[in-house]
Amino acid sequence: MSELKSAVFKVYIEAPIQSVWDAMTREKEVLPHFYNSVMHTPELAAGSPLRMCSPDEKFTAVVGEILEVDAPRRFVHTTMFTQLEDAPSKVTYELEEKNGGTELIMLLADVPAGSKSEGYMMSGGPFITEILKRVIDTGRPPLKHRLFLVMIGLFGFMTPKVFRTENWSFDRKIS
Amino acid sequence: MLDEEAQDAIFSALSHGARRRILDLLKTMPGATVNDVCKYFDVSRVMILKHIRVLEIADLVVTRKVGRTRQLYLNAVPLQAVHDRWATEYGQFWASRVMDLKYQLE
Repeated sequence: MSELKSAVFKVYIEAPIQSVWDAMTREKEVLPHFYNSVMHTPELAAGSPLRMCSPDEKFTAVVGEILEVDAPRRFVHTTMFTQLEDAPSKVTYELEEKNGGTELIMLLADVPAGSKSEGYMMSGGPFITEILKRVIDTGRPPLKHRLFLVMIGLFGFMTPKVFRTENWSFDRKIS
Repeated sequence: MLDEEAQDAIFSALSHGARRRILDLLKTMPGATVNDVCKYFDVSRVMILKHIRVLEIADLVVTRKVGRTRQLYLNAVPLQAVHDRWATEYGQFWASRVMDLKYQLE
């Protein structure tokens, strides 16, 4: 078995814990901190499948399974990039009330070392925590990230078939 | 944006070679223990613990308790925040191009 890597990203957000939780777990709405994708799950509960789709639901870039939901403190799910063959990694969000705001710790675990998934996950870490902070603090992502998000949208038509949501129904087993 | 106090903590934490080296180690060995880190230094364990504490205050190191061991992780988020303070939209692009050139030639 290849080596598995882990990483931690910690950020303090000046917002009530419930707002951070809501921003993180919002379903069927565009999530700027998650590359403008929309989270879909039959139920926000352990054992439920989860997928991150484009706003029009045509494409699915990330699939996974919810492992733990303990609102508003802990959310754990697996994650797998649909276009890669790598095994799923684990993402844990831990929220704690501190100094009138919220401390968010995001842990990535079981990331296959040297894989493309590792590159995606490790660069995604600071992106997700930073944008989440900015969206909650100021109501929108910083300009450079807004430009990046617009670019993702523009290139939607080039998206390969593997991303098509019909290939990633909730019944499909991921391992 | 981080407040001035938080930024002071980041810069003073980064102003010591041993602490920067600890961050290098944690980058390549996420989840290392204090003992693991000590192996790479000739100074006392107490000294290393002090350095780790300074890094923790700056949020550059995050400690997780797993059973009886403490695992140490590099937290790159404050560095991203420092970078965001001075990076401009287009400056960033060119700064990264000239750095690429430097990496390529050295």
